Amino acid sequence: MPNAILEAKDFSAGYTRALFAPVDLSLFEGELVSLVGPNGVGKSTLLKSFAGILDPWSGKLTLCGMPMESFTMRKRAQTIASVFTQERVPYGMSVREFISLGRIPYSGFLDARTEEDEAAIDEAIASIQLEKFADRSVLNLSDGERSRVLIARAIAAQPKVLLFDEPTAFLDVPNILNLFRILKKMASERNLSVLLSTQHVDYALRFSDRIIGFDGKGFVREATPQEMNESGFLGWSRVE
Amino acid sequence: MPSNSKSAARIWGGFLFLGIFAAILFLLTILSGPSSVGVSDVIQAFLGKSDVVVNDIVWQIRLPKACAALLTGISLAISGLVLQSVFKNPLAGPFVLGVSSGANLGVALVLLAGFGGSIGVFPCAACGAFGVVLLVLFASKFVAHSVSLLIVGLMLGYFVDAIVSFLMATSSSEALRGFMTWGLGSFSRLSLDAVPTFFAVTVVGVILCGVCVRYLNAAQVGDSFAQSLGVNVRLSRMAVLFGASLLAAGATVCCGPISFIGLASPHIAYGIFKSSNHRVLLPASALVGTELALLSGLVPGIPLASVTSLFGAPIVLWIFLRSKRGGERA
Repeated sequence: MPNAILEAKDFSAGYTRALFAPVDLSLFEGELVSLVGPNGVGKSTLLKSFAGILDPWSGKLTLCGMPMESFTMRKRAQTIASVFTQERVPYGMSVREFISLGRIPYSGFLDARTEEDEAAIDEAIASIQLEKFADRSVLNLSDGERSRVLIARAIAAQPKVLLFDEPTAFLDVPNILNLFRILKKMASERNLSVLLSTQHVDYALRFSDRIIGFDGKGFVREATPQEMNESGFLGWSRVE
Repeated sequence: MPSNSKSAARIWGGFLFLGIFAAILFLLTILSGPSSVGVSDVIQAFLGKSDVVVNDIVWQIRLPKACAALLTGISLAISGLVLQSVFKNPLAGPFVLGVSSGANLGVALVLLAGFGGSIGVFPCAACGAFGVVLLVLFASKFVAHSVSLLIVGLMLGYFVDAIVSFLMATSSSEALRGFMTWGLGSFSRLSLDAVPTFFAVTVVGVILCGVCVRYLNAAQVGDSFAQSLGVNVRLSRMAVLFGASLLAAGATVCCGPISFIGLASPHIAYGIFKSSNHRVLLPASALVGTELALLSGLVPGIPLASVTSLFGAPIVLWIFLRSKRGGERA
């Protein structure tokens, strides 16, 4: 049995009210977990709570066996890397500079990069084969290329957990397949726990080790793709 | 982030060039003026060996002027860069937070309404500038989004400008003339005694912005991204905004409302270094700003505010039209 990296007990998330009934969830080493549910049920909010950006509405979060609150912001950011959809693509930034932002959890006041940082950036670039566009501007990337650059930026932080909000939103079919393959490879090779939210339920069921599903009526459940598919919990995603 | 030797060479070469250019302009500012002063005169004046007249010209007129231009350039450029990054808006600058308007109001109260005449123009301008800054910072406690804060600053600026217009409409033509002269801007108003104060304000402002490089770099992608990287966004944003306001207020109070240096310097610095890392951009913008200010000060006979606009507007346009980045941003 692999170790649980992130655990949630009686957990619910929300800004002004609980968006779903309290639930126990956990993320294990080396697995790819997909978060599926209709819009507005709290997928992004759940991710924000897991990322430590938003306090949980209720319940407790445990990271590597310790309460989330006991982590400093810096230590937390070194353990959990996250990519959110509302991110703005900065102008005039090269791919390498952009990936280098992922090392900010390790940098000092003046945001210098040590040789160790540069090595981690090089390694992240190499692991997703981005060498040939490292000097290009992030603004000029296609959606597929950008999604890979975002993974590299998260990987550069050498995290234990990778949270990814709607990475498949603007991708075509080959790029969605590629993205899932890369994330799955990252999870197993690095013993990384990957949690991504997506509207592409079919791909999620095919590639994920486990699913955290929203039923659209305020309930959340975690299960294997097969169990999830058979239980009818994701009834909202069926085309009749 | 010097990713390879090529960009590292570009960065060091760029700083060397800008540094030497700034030093030459600084010296030129000390040398040029109505009465001719040579390099040897300047050296002797610094050694305390020259005659009284030359000594006075160098120490009381030329040096304060050169320092005023140097510090104003640094202040406005860093203030502009930081505001552009925090508000994620390439058109942001020291004017948008209402800082200049606040300083204007302080001066208008003294020169037009005769209020607080015993305190003097500079302290009143400083009070006006900081009054607006405090209001904007106070608002930032309640406003989560940087763009909303930009609107708060703009609206405050308009509001304050309206009060100034009212004061102008109701004042005598003589008072109005004095006020307009202040508005034209000048590096020559700073006295030698005031240089250390201006210097101290600039240093504090630069430090406040400088310790937030992590935030400034991450904020280009977004505040919540910065937060996910473990950066204390609220604290950093407060520090950076306070620093930027301090810098803008210092420059405006000492030299008048000077446009374009704050807006143009970061764009020129980016054009030279092709880096969006604030470790590079902060010192680079400061150097470019200094050079723009010293150059503007060297143009004789035209009011400072006009010079910066006359040269600044075409430069900004040129950069925007020339660079691909400009096309994408517009």
